[in-house]
Amino acid sequence: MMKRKVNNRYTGIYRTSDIIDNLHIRITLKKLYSIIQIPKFEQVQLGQPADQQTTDFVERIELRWQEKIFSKTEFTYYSQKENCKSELEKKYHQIIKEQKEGNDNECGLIFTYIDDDNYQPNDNFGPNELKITQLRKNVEEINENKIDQSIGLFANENETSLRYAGDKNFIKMFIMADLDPTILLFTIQYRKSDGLFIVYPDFNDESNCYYLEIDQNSKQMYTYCMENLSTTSNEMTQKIKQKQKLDELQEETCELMKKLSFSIKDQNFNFPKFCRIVLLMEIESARFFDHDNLHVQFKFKLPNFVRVIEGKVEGATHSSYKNEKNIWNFGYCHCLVIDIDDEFLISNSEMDKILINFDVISIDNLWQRERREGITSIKIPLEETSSNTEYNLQCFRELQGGSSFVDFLERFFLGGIRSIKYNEHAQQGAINFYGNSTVTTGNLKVKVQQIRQIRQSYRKNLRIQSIDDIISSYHRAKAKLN
Amino acid sequence: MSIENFYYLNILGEIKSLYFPLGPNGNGLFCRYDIVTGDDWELISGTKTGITQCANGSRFSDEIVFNMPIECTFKSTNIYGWPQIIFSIYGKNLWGSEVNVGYARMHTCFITNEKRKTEPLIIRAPIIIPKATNFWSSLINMITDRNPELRDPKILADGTKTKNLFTFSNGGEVIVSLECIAKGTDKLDFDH
Amino acid sequence: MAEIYILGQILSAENFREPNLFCRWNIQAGSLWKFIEGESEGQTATDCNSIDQKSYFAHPIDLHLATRGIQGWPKLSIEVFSVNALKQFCPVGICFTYIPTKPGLHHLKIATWRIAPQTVLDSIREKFFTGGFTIVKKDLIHTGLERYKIATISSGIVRVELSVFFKHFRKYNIVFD
Repeated sequence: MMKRKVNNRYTGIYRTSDIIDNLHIRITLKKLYSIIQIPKFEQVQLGQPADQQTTDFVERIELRWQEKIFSKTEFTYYSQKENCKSELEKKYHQIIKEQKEGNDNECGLIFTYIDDDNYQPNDNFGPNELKITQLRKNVEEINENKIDQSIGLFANENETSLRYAGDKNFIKMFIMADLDPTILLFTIQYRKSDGLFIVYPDFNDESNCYYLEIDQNSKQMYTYCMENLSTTSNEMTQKIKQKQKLDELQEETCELMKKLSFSIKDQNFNFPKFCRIVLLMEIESARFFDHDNLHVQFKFKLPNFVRVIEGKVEGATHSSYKNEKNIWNFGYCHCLVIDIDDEFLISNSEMDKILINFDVISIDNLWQRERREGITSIKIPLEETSSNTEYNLQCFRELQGGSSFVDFLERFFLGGIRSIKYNEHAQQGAINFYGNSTVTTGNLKVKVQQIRQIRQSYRKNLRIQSIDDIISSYHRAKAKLN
Repeated sequence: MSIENFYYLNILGEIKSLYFPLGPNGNGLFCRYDIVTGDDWELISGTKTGITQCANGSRFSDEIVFNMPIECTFKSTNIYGWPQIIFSIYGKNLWGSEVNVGYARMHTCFITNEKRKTEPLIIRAPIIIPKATNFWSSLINMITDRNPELRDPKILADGTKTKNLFTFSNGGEVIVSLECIAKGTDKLDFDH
Repeated sequence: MAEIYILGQILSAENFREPNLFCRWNIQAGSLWKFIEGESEGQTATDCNSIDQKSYFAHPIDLHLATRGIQGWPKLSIEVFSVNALKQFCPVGICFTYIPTKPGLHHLKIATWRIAPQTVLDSIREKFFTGGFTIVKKDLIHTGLERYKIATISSGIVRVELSVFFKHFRKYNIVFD
């Protein structure tokens, strides 16, 4: 079965920590005399000899990094002394003279351009036809002059910006074929700083060569391929050995450090008896209230078995005037740290929740009268950390005198009297608020966050599934006692 | 930096597009991105910088699409110095010369737990344009249609160096879609 | 020691009347906390909010803290200043929030306030000179003890995106959910 290989050319991007001088590649260029590939069937073919190619034109070259091979035109050009003006050209002239003396006049089809030749392939479709080599030199200059005072650039320094630094510091090598139009076969780029090695098209082998079709005066077909023959150098293995030794050393020191610091770490950390909760409350903002100059007073109501370590259980925010959007921003933060000594005291009942009561009060400008604008509260369970942290609380206040008209008059002239304390739970009987009328006022936005530090709970570990478990654990406990 | 405590972080994604609600300040925009990390981070594969193609929007207020892949793998022992990406955007102005159109900075996405939705995170980083500090400079800049440029855009990643920088913003945003994969964070006992 | 990594950015400031804003931020924590790596305070670039009353800072925050206990949880305080044409600055917003206690990415919208002018003269002075009053006693921002002494007026909001990582918290039995 014949395989028609359709070669998609990919760029090979490699990262190497080896020195680039170890690069050793072999380029093969073959001319195909028959473009039509005849499929070979199992029967004997009639008439056509198996190898139609008369003389297989094959050129094979082995190259090292930045090795210069001259093409025919370059050879003739540089052999004349008048053409050589720059240092590089004079160097080439010298090399060619030595080659001529050594009777090495052969020039194959494959030649190379190295970094010093400043060759640029025409693959730039962007709008900028800039000379990249000039830019590259300027960029390197910038890198040498380190940071100075100004962080901005002046307008005429534009070309020296780090804009094109994507192309920075690459050393290039181009492998060309000297066919009727000069064809670029391979582009190799290498950057030392991070070991990037980019090859376009990627390495391949003789079985899947790249095809090249030339259509100038006559149609010709070539295949070419590049193989990687590099082997790692001795210096590389030394580096690996060094790294390994360093790693072992570090491991040993880590072990020793762990032994040292293990005991100290535990002693230093603050452990509670059973459970410690840090409550972070933020009163963020308020809106839709009637009067201006608001402040919020709040009070925490904690269950009896809870012990306060740090922070106050009540407080007040500053007074705030509203902004143009009719929002009062408080941004008041309060932190409370409480300790629970015994796990068996926590249950899920209503009595074991932390209650925070908020009281929004406005102060009159003229006579400094205080008016209650609204009250609200939050309940925080102790058993688990609640996932809800942001609360948008609706406030209400009592209507003084029972009707809205009396309430309006009283509040306008006398200010708001806080006649009812909602802070206390009813001690006996049911809570009875009959006879009070209330009206909803504005919104209060509060955020509460919790962190808890719990020692292992013995209760949670018990998973008593059956009576057998109970009996066996009883026996175990009895054995322990004895 | 003990060897058994490092972890790998792989950042994948793309620079999707630029969004200018009031139209871009130039044509033929291209963008250059740099990934900046702290000292404890080491690049294993991928490139830290890249330049996108030159792109235009078809209509005035369209998004300008780049669709440029970003892929990087880092090795680190520390969360401090988490990789940040700095964008520098360039385009052609009225007079046909290539000028800087703005900068943007963002942190690469953080590792989150699996309760998040399965779509990749889309981050919109606002574009910041440096402003001239005195009146005559701003007049000349208006005539030549050219904004001041930062000598080293990487100062945006460091909080201490941008103190005296005056900027303005025209509402533009760089829209980036990122995902990250981390390996070995269990050993470090992180919660995320 | 348990450790916390705070990563994020001060993204923008919105709804401030005054132009040319910059922020000064700092992160404070109790006595049991220690700063290991990163800056705990800083100043953003100055952005002129020409469009939409939004100033974009995109200022990075990167901090590494270690602690011996959960008291004194770190808090972030931000002061927003505005710069006038004569390069003088005055405060236009102060705010303060706790670092989130759950790990992961949080988008915070912090409401700010500033000292309100008390008399008519004060409000004239605020408009024509370099702005209103500032707080000399910085404790007033962070603690709640003496807040009743001041009257404030609400200002804009600041958007902060913070991502918090916790390390070794499980070892010390600290739970979030």
